[in-house]
Amino acid sequence: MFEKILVANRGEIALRVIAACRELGIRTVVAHSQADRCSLPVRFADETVCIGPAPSRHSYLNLGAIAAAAETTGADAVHPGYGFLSERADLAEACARGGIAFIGPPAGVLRLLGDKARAREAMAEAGLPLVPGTGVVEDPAAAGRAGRRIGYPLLVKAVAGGGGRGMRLVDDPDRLSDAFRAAVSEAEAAFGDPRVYLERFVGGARHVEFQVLADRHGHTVHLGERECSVQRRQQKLIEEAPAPGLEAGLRRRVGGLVAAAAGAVGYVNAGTFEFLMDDGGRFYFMETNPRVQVEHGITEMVSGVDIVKEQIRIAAGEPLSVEQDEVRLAGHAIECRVNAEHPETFAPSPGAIRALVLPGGPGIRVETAACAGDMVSPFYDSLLAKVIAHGRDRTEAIARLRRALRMMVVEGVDTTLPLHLRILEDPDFLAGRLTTTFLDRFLAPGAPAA
Amino acid sequence: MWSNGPRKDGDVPRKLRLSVRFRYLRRSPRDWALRRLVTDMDFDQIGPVLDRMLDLMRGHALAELEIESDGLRIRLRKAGAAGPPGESAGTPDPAAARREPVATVVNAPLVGTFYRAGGPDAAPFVQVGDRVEPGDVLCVIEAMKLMNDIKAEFAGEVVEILVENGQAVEYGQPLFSMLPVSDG
Repeated sequence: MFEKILVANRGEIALRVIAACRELGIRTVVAHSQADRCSLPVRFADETVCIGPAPSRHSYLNLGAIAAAAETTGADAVHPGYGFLSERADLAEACARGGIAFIGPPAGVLRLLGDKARAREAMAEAGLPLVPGTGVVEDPAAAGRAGRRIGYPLLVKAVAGGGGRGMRLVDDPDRLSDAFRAAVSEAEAAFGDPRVYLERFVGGARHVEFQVLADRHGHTVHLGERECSVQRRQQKLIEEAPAPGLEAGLRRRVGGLVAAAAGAVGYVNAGTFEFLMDDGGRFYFMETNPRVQVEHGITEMVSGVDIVKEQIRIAAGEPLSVEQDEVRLAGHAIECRVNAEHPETFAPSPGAIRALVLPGGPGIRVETAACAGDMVSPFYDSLLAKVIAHGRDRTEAIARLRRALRMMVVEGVDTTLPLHLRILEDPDFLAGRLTTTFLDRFLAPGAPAA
Repeated sequence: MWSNGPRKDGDVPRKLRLSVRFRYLRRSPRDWALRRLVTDMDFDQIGPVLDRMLDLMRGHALAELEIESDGLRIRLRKAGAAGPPGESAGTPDPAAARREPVATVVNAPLVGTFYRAGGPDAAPFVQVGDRVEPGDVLCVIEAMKLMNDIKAEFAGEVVEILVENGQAVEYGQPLFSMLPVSDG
């Protein structure tokens, strides 16, 4: 097992990794920016190293600084958290060159999955169902021909894409060439890679994703699925596990396919396979997130498996602590991502947190690095806290989440708490009638207010 | 960024005209609560500390007061108290700080291992008391097997070397204390 892990991230996920390391008896070094020198991860880590100034590109995205920090502090592994450099094959390679373990998939797998077009091909070969689509499309004329074959509405998506950038929804063949050009220039600007592909738009679909763990000894298990349909511009706001109404047989079948596909591409460590699920219960593979997810906590609550500790054990070469037939999913867990944003306009709300009261009590878990007196920095994302409720069933989980959110106080910055409370009273949400357009309809002017 | 140079505080009473200097000794403060107190972002919170110091100075007719705690030193000096002649207490004089030489700290521009010399048997690039010119190498910082020369950006005299040879340094860590000289 490792003796010292460098945490190359900030905020709640840095604290989450520190917690896992403490439980495993591993020392931690937090690599932090100057803006975060007073953060809780810096307070609770065994060692700290400042890697650069506040802007991420000079600190948390500065691969050289992070590799140098790991080497200089004598860390034997790097945990990249999520976001920032977590999916970068070159960080995995830089670690390998320095004899340091990267807590994530091998560089080759990261490269494959980072290229969405190649990843789709590989996953199709590995037996996952795909939305009808194309490989890289070169020009608007080729897009037009592909469009006739796939059918409308369709999506133009960046090969290097993510977060909804470089993506265009096209209803009408006449609009395709404009949308194509817009997606290409956006992809070029955002990712430095102008390549795009087409994919049929699955209407009325739910976002359902499977959590996978794979060790270096060829064992791969899935920990069931998460429902993440409540999202706005690809930003998830509420996640739950299991997905409401999903039959155990379907879970077993799709979970089995996912575990087999992960094995087939040589996947190692924790990963998430994202699907669209249409109203007929058909699954379409979208992409793999080769890292720990923000919403991993809800899977931990229902499965009892500590995903971050598993990640560390896997990277240290240990076998998985569970086999598939030992995975038992119990009860229901729901997470609200409380962001420091205006609850209606979603404008970020940086500033000083004057007061903070976090909820607790039965079935509540809060993941946050915020504390009273802290600044919500304009340099980083606006996630303030993840509030997770676990109950025997969905009804109990919702009741616990509601009372927890009402017993949470954040003063000084705007938060999305009021929005979460409204959603948790929405009849469609309560009935589990969820699609990826749920939040757009919910927020549309004239929508019934709860 | 930690503040190393002279710094004016608008709340300081005019008639005393104090220059406020923070100086970090070797490493940044280890104590987390103190760090919170003294970061630039929390500058307002230092107000009460400065008020206490000012009260002490007035009460005891002190010309200068310095406090030090776990890596942070705050020095308040009544303008003109130890300055060169010609500095009057009544009118602001922006040149005062320049006329009274103030040591400037050279910080590490990257994370790595600090070396005072180019090799195990080589002489150190600089010693305390050395005069350096802009562009002179002060030290190297090794990061990922690459030796990065850290060069002087201004002419000056090395007053203090704040880290040990072979020590790990973080971004922004004070390496040298230098007294700038304006003219050869």
